[in-house]
Amino acid sequence: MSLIRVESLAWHYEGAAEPALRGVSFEVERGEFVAVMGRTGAGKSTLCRCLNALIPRHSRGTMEGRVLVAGLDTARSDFYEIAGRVGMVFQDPETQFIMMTVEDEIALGLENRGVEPQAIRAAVERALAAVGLPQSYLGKPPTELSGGQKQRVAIAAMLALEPEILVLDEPTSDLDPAGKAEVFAILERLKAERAATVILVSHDSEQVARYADRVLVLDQGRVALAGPTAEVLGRVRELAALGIAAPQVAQLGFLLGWPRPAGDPRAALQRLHGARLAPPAAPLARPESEPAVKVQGLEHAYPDGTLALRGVDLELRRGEYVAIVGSNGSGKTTLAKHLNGLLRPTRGSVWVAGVEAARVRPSELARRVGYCFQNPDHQLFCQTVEEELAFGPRHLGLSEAEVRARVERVLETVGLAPWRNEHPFFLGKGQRQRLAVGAALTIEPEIIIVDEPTTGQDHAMCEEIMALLDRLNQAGHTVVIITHDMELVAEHCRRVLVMADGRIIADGSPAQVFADAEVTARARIEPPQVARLSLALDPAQPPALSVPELARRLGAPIDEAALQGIRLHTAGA
Amino acid sequence: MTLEKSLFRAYVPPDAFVRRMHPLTKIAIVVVLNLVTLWATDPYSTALFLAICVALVLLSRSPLSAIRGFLLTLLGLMQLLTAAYILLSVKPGTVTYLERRLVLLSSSGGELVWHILISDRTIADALALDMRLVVLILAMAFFMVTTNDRDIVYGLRKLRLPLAVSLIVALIFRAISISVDDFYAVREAMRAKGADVGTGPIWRRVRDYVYLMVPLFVLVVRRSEEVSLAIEARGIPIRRPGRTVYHSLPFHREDWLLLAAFGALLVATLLIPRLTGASIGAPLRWLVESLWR
Repeated sequence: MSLIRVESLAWHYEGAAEPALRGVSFEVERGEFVAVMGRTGAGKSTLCRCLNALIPRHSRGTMEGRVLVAGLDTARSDFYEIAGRVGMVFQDPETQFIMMTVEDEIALGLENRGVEPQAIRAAVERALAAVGLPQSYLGKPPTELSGGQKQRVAIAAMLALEPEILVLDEPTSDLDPAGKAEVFAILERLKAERAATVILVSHDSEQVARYADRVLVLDQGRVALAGPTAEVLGRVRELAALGIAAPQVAQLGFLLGWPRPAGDPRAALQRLHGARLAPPAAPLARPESEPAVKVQGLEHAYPDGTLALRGVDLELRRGEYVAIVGSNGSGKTTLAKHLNGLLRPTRGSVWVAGVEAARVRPSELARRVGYCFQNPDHQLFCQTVEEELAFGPRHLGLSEAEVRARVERVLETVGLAPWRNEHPFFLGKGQRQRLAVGAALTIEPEIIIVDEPTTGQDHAMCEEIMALLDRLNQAGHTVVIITHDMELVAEHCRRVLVMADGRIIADGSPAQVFADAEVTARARIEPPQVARLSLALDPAQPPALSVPELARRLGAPIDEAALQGIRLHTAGA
Repeated sequence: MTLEKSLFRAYVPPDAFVRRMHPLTKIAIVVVLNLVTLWATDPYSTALFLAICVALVLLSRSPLSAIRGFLLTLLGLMQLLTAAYILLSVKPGTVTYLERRLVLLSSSGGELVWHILISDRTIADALALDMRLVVLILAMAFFMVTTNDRDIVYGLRKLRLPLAVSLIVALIFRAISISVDDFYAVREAMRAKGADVGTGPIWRRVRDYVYLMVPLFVLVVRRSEEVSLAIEARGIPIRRPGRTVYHSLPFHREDWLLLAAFGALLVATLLIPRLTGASIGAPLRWLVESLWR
């Protein structure tokens, strides 16, 4: 008998226009690792909540069909019995913690089950060891850990209860590459050592290809594709139509006309063995414009003594498209916040368009430098989309006619005109992110800085946001993005600043940076799959930065029809 | 950046005796000191309670940096309270330093007069009031710099209160730390859009803070939903028999001794005036007067 059996499951949230799930059926055997993919709103999280009976217990709506876990109907069995069998980890590690130390957090569920204190201690130590954290972490507050460590503690708290099934709902989407690697290493270990049954929701097809036995793709609440991982991820065109980017090597296989393109980079490398890699087209030169930003000897120490920047020198020219990359704590955001005066240098100087940033108020600099924070919810203050876009220019004292004109222009640019009177609270996350970018645009800054523009968004939304930034750059704005997404860096940016320990350790084109193994290792960044593949094929050549580029350099005739096959389809805003 | 995010944070060294004290003992001490200060208002009793507070703070080995915030608050409040008391109370004493009658309002219906009388008694009473304030704030400082939020949650669970109580307290502490982060992030976002929050005319400051409340409220709503989901997903029922408590937090001998001592202080403060007609500070008064002579 299957461990999980979902039969014709449908769920309609009360008040929603459309059902979240419509007739979903599948089975999962004990010890299987199943990935659930799909664009935002496809029903992935709803499905996860049905598996551990949070739906229908926690939500109002109408349910049809049934979910059986170890033979128990989740809707009709004791909720705590099901919750004990199905452990769940959520996207945001911050909101999963209740207690003040790692030890208490892991012990809480065990206390609740009436486990004796001596046995709790042993179980807590076992769970912590299972996620590879030392015992010295027991007394630490979970909030003071890194993102990856937080998710490991969340997984440990779940493992301590010894559930039969682990459900992880986008556990790595808020993490930096190092944090992602930590979490996936734990999942790999659980799979190998405990034969754990895992349901993983993820947008990361590369990691899915590496770990999952089977893939389930949802679209508008229905199962659109299902099957063994290699088979599903090889259906590149169908995945793109569903808003999912197949692994880059599978996309490459599709463009090269392989009969069964798969997501395995080793298989791709074997297949390409002996292939000749042509040199790339000449990269675009840096614009010969005047400096937009000049940073000299910049150091910054926070009040608690943390030295976040240790001597940064930098010049950004007008019209550049720059990425700042590096692991968490490397100084990326601290550097960016100096460019619009939110932070003042401890030592050194920052000049923006010929003005020393420390000598003017941040509100004055806001005219020149727009800054978009990572979380759109931190920067939307108003009651309607229109008011939100007007907030900045009104604060700068512009005339009402000018404010209206700018709002109209930006509403079109960010594609939110139909929602002009909507409260930002009720927009989807992608729309809120675009609104946040739009709100910075109405100020018409010369420089726009966007911190993690695509975190937690599906591929189609990422492409929408990046297309918007591309248009801004083409219109002459200097664009600076802070990101962990190397595919995005490779495909959009022309210059990369790599930061580590408060310093810029590399400054060059994406190809130069990705080819430097020492830099990528030190900054803990992983170049895109095509870059790694092209370097493996010919280390002497600059790496490819996109799938079409690598296909062309391998001699494949790439036409628009072929490119359409890998281009993601959006489901509307 | 590390922000000071915990409302309660134990600053004292781990080997200090107050770190071993049960949080309920500390709560009891603070409650007793508050009650006796409100009950016995004469300067000598207040001085006795102040001496006890200072001794507690010194014995706790709390670093000055940790209680600096409390002391600064105290200084501001004391100045305000002293000025208000001296200028607004009319208490004749043996020596009068200043007496004025200011007519604030005069009409056919009568006059509104501000009678300022500064005497030796006004000043003595103002100082006594200040001392009582010092006792209340130092007692709270003793508790807040020697206790962390974890101890408080343990203490509540030790009382065998329903899980909901300790869970809600724990979540409030977590919410405070997250909201502090959110507040700073939202304020930065407003500044990045050209709003100089906290500057300019008062109406603009109020308006900016109203704007600031919108995302904070939205974040609280979103996070509440996520947190409640996470708690539910872990199968933590609010009412369930047979729960165990992992951390045994025993009462030590010192806890019992301190509880007995502060219990005795409370009883003595309440009973001595009834039995003898003098306050608990009477021996101190006798000592001071003997030395003065």
